[in-house]
Amino acid sequence: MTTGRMTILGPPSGLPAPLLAVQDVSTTLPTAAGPLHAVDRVSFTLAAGEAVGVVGESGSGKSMLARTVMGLAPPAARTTGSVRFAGHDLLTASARDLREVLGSGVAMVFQDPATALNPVTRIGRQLAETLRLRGGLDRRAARDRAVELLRTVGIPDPARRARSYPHELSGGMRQRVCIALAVACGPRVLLADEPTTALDVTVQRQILDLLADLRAASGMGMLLITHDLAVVAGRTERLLVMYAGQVVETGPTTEVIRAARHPYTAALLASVPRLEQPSHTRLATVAGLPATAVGATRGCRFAPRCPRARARCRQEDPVLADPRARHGAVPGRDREHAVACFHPVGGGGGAAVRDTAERIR
Amino acid sequence: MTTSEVLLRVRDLAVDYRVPGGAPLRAVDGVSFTVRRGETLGLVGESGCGKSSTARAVMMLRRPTGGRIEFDGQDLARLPARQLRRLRPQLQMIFQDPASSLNPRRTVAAIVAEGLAAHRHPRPWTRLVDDALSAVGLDPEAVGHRRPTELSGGQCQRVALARALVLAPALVVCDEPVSALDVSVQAQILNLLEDTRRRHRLSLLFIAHDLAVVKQVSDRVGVMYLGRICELAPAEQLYRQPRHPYTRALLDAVPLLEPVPPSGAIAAPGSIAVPGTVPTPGTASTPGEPPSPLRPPSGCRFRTRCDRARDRCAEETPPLHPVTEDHQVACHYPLPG
Amino acid sequence: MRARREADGLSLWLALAWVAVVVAAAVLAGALPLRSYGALVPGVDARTPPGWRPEFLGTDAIGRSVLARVVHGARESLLVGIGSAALAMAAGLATGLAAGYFRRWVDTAIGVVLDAVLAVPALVLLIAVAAVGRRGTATIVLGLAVVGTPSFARLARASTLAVVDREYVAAARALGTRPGRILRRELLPEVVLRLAPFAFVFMAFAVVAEASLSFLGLGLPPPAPSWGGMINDGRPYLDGDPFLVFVPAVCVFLTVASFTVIGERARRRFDARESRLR
Repeated sequence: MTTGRMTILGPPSGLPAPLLAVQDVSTTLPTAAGPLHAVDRVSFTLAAGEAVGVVGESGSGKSMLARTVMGLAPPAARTTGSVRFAGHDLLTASARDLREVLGSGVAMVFQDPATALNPVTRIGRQLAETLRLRGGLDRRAARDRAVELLRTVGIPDPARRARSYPHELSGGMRQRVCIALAVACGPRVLLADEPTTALDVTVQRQILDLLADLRAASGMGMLLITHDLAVVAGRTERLLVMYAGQVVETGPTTEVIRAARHPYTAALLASVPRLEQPSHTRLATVAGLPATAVGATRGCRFAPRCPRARARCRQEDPVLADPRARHGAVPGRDREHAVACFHPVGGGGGAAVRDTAERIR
Repeated sequence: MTTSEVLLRVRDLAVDYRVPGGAPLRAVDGVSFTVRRGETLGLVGESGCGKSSTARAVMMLRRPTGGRIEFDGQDLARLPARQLRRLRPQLQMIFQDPASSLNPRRTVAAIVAEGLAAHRHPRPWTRLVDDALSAVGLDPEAVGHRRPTELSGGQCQRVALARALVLAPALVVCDEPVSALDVSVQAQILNLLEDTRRRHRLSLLFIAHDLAVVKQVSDRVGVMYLGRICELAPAEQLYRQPRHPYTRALLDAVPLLEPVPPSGAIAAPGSIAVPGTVPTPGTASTPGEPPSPLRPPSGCRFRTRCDRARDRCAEETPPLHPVTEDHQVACHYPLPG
Repeated sequence: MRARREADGLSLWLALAWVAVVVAAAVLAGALPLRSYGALVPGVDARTPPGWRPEFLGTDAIGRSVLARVVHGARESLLVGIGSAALAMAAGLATGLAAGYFRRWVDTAIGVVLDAVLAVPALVLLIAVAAVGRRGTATIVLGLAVVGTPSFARLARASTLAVVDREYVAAARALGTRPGRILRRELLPEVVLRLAPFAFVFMAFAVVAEASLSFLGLGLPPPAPSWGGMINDGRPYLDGDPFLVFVPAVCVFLTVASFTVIGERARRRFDARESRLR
C-alpha cells in the first residue's frame, strides 16, 4: 500500500508524506432499488499543507466520500477499503479512537453554517467548551483562546461577538464560527464540504481566502468538496472529478481544467457560463442527468450521456490508470493526471490513458 | 426609446415587509428600470438585495408600497383585481425551487393546464398542453401523467416553463431559475430559455445571483445592492467596464476557472505545490458583508464597504444617472470609463 | 431495529383487523343472527341474576343479551366517532384554510371565535349541547364536533400556513387562478392529508367521550345500546359480575387503541414522505 511504502521510504525529493491515505474506499447504501454505490473504489492521498479538490454534481458521491472519511457514513451504509490517518484506519477504528481523531486530527466544515451550530448557546461558549473538552484548557484559558480564534477567522470585535448567538450573525460570520470550531484543536486535515455554497459571492471569496490563510499558517491538509469547478480552480493543487461514485479524472488542478481528458470533465467545463464569454453564447450541454450507480452496473457510468462512447464503453469498466502499474512503486505517482476512460478527449485511445507529469519534467 | 418598444416600465418601486415590533423593512427602495420588447433584462445581486422582491412586485404577487409598474402602458399596481387577472396570461413567472414551484400532488398535465383552467379557456386543452410540453423538450406521453416528485430538477423547470408558455405570455419573470440545478443541467435550461425567448419573441426579466449566468442570457444588466439599483448597462459594457465600485467588487469576487496568476510566480503544473503558493485572484477582496436592510447606511448604501467612499457618500444618496448613453450608475465617484 | 419494525407492523395489522371487525359489526348488526338488543332473552325474568350463563357473554342486569347489545353498540360508537370526526374536520378545514390563506382580518375573526369555543371546558360544552338538544346520536355527534372543531381548525390553519408560502401557490396566483380554486386545488389536498392522522386520534377521543356522556346519563335514550351506556348500566354489578362492564370496556379500549395506532402510523408515513420530498 502506498502509505506503508511511503512511510518506510520517507518523502522523496521534497514530497511531503501523506497525512491521509484513502485506499479503495467504497460506501454502499441499501435502497429500495438495490445497493447504491455512493462511493466506489476511491483512492487518494492528502499531504500536509496540501489542498485537494473534489468536484462532482449531485449524486456523484462527493459528500458521502467526506462523511466516509470522517467515519460518519450512515449506520446502514457498508464501507470497505481503508482510510489511514496517524496510524489509525478510520474505517475500522473503535468509536473511542475515532472520537479522539475527529476534531483534533481531522475536522470538518459543513455547507450549512446555520444548522452546524447549536442555536441556543453563545458562540464563544461553544468554542470554549470544545477547547476545554478536547484541548484540555481550563475555563479561563479556553475563553481567551476562543476570542483569539474568532479574531483569527476574521470576526470583527471578537470579544463582544463571542457573546452572540448564532442567529444574530450573518451567514458568512456563522461560517467563520464553524471554521473556528473546526480548527480549534489544530487539526491536521480539514474537510470542507461545500463550505461556500450557501454564501454570497463576495463572502465566498473571503471564506476561501480565510481557508487558504489558515492552511498556509498551520500546514494542515485540506479537502475542498464542491460542485463548482471555479471554486477549486486556483484554490487547490490537485483535483478529483467524481461521477456516479467514481473518480473519473484526477491530476493537478490547473492541468485538469486546462486540458481535461475525461469527456465528463470536458463537458462540465464547457457547460459552465463564463464571464469572459459574450452574452447569448450557446452553452455546450451534456444530454441527460447526473447518474447514480444502483445495483450491478456494467461499463463506464458516463457512457449513456457520452458522445464518445462506443461498444466497449458499455461492456468494460474503464479504470483510473494506476500509476504504479508501469512505473513501479514510486510514491507520489498518484499526483499524475489520470483518467478513467477508453476514449479520452485530446488524443490517445485504447487503454486508459495517463497524461503524466513526465511531460512537464 | 418609444413607448411601444417598452413592454415593462418600473418606476420608483418600493416594497416594504412588516417586521414584528419595528419599522417596516424596505426591501426595494426606489427601483426604476424598463424591459423592452424581445429583450432580456438581468438583475443581479447578493442575497437580501431585493431582487426577488422586485420580481414578486412586478408579478403583483406582493403589492408594492409605492411606485408604478407599467405593463404595456397600464399600471398594474392600480388595476382592479378583475382586470389584473385578465392581464395575467401575458405576465408569467418561473421560480427558483423546482420542487416547490410545482404542486407535488398534481400531474404534470394538470399543472400545465392550470392556466387554461384559471382563465376558462375552452376545452379540450390536450393539444395546447402537449404542444407546450413538447416545446420545452418533454415528451407529453411520457411525463404528462407523472407527478413532479418523479421528475428531476431540470425536468421540473421545464414543466414550469411549459406552464408559463401555454398562456402565450409577453413577459416571463425568471427568479433564480437555474440556481438549484446541477451545472450540466443548468446549461440545458439556459439554452432552452434562450431558444424559447427567440422562438416565442418573449421579453425576460432574469434574476439571479450568479454573474456569469446573468451575463449569458441578458442584453442589459442591472446590479442591485440593498434594495437599490447601483448600475444598469448593456451586458457587455457592464462586465467589461463596470463603473460602480460594487459591480467591480462583485466581478472581482467571482472565482474564475482559469485564474490569472499574479505575475508569473506560479508553480509549474504537475510539480509539488508548496503550501500557500496557490494562485489567488490578483485583487484584494471586498471586506465585510452587506449591512442589514433593517438599518441601511445613509447616503450611498455601499459606502461602508467601499474604498472610494468620502464624506459626501454618507450625506447624499447618489441617484442613478447616465454616464454614457444607456449606461447608468448610482455613484458620486464612479470608476473611470 | 428490525424487531421494532416488525412489532410496529403487527400492531398496525391488529388495529386494522379490530377496526374491520367493529365496522362489520356496526354495518351488519341488523343482519346477524342475534337476539334483539331491547328484548329480554327468553327464559329470563326479572329475578334471574345478571350474567346468566346459557347466553354467550351472559345477560345484563335486566336480562338482555350482552352480545347483542355490544354488537349493536358498535354501530353507535362508530357513528359517533366517525360522524363527529368528519363534521369537526369539515368545519375545521373550512375555517382553518380561510384563516391561513386570507390571514389579516379573516384570521383574526376566526381566531376570536375559536378561542371563545376553546375557553369553555369541553365537558361543560358537551353537557350544554346534550341538555339543549334532543337526546340522540345526532346531538352527541354535533356536540363532539363543536368540541373538536377548534383543534381541527388550528391544525388546518397551521398546515395551510406551512403550505401557502410554497412557490406553487404563488405560481397559481401568477397564472390568475381565483382564490377559491387555489384553496380547493392547491391547498385542500395537502391540508387534508396533514389532518388525517389527527382525525383518527379524534375518533378515539370521541368514542371515549360518548362513553363518558352515557356514564353521565347524557347518552342515548334506552333501550338503544351504546358501549358507554353499557358500562354505566353495569357499574352497580361490578362486584358480583364484572363482565357487564368488562365486555364493553374492552371494546372501547381496543377501538380507541386501534384508532390511535392507525393515526400514529398515518402520521409517520406522512412525515416520511415529507422528508423524501425535501
